[in-house]
Amino acid sequence: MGVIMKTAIKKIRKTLFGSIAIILFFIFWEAATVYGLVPKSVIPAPTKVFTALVRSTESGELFVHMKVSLARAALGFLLASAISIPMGFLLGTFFKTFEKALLPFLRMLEKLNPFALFPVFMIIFGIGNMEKIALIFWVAQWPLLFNTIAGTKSIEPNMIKSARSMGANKKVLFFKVILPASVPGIFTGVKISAQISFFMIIASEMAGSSQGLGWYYLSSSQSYQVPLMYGIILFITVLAVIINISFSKLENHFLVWKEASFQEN
Amino acid sequence: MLNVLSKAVDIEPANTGTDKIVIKNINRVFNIKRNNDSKNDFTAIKDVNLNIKAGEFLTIVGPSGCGKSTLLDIIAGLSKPSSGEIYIDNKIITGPALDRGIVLQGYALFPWRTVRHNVEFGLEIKGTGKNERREISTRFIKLVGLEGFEDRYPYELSGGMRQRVAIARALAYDPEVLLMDEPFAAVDAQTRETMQDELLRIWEETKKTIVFVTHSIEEAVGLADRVAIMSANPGYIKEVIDIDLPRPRRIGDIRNSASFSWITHKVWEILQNAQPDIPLKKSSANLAEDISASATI
Repeated sequence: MGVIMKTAIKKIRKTLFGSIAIILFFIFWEAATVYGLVPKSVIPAPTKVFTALVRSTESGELFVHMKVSLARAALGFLLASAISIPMGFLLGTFFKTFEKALLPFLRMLEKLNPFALFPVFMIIFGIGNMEKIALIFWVAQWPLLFNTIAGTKSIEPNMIKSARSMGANKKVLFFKVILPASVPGIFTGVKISAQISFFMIIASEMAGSSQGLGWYYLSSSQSYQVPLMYGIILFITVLAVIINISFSKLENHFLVWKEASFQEN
Repeated sequence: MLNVLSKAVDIEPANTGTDKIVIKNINRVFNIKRNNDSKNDFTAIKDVNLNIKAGEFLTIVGPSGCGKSTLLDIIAGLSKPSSGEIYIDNKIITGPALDRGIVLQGYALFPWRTVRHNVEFGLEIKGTGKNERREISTRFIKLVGLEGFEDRYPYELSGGMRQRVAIARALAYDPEVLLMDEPFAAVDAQTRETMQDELLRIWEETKKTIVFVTHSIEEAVGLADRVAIMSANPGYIKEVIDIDLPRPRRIGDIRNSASFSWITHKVWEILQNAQPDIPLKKSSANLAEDISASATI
């Protein structure tokens, strides 16, 4: 019991210590508006911002837009995972020559600026869910693909050798050696892609949409609801942090066998 | 006493020197392309003949690049000879199988598996049932002295402990022959000696045939019944000598004995004489390094 209490206290302490900068930031912000260091019409007090945010949650509007954005991002991300991870496996293992021929082209596609592609996707799919999901799919697939390829290649040749010496055939080699050995690489891709998906959905909704957090943010700024605008910025940030933490937790769960130094990221 | 022992051994058919593995005129030639145009044939192993007796501890010693690891890979079935034949129990070796276990220098453990599940890997492939697997892995983890570490992951273990896991893993599916490729090269001197004694104990307990590759003369002599001395460029067996040091042995006990020093010196002399046979040109030395790196893949 005592040990549990102690670790709990330690954890709370650590969290509090890590929050100092964030708490100070809000205190200074509040103070700056109260003492007129910044014009209130441009930067409202955080208390005002929070009030606006609470009002928006009460009306249900915030969550409606959140659901729309998250659903779009999740669909695009899942679609990319379902296609790019297996693709990365195939290119990294059985079709290495093909991969060599294809890689420069894929790298070039990856480097296309996704913001510049907004109009292209709008023309092809029309503005709407389809266009958003396709765009998220496009941006999410690259980290997944390249990190999966890298993961399959990071396997120690000795591991394959020792598995073969124990009579492992191709199927066993794939499922019991190559697949688990690539998991760290895949997870790197999954984490990056999840973050990019959420990042890009906000951007694409700002470029053209009638719902979603990106649009909600844009409309609040255009209708001069300044406190709400800041509230949505805060809300989006918090969501991004939650997504990041969830995927890190998921990674730790699957990669308990990795050295602690690898998990810290 | 010794007479009685050797007589008792004589009755046991497994230990009378029946040949477990027979290597006949093995050659291994690598084709390597250098500087785009010129194609080079590099003979890693030339005309190797060797009979390995059932239950014996044979070590293969030689300078780096002499093809000793390549030879071990061929015995394991991981690599095919360019010409010549190799038999185990009078059957020709065509590929890796569970009658031979291999322990590699870099441990080659599966980092996502606990100690227990690493040891059970070969058994899973073999199709052994879960309860039996557990029972066997418990036994071999105990044999290598890792009780209490069953649920640890490899990253939590020291180099010596990892090598113990690798040995337990290779023994768990009960191969008749244990092939070891410089297994103790990466551990510190003290751990190495402990591991050598442990290996001797395990060998005496399990009565496996062991083929052990090393570049250390002391290690080769200290462990073996017979030492095969290899020479480089091309790799061939210069001489096979019998080691008649008493058994059971402990490395610490025999290390300072006169006969041990005499034998190691003799092996050293043979290795020295082996060197100038073929003058080592700089280019061919580099070539040998290229080969040994590529041969491991």
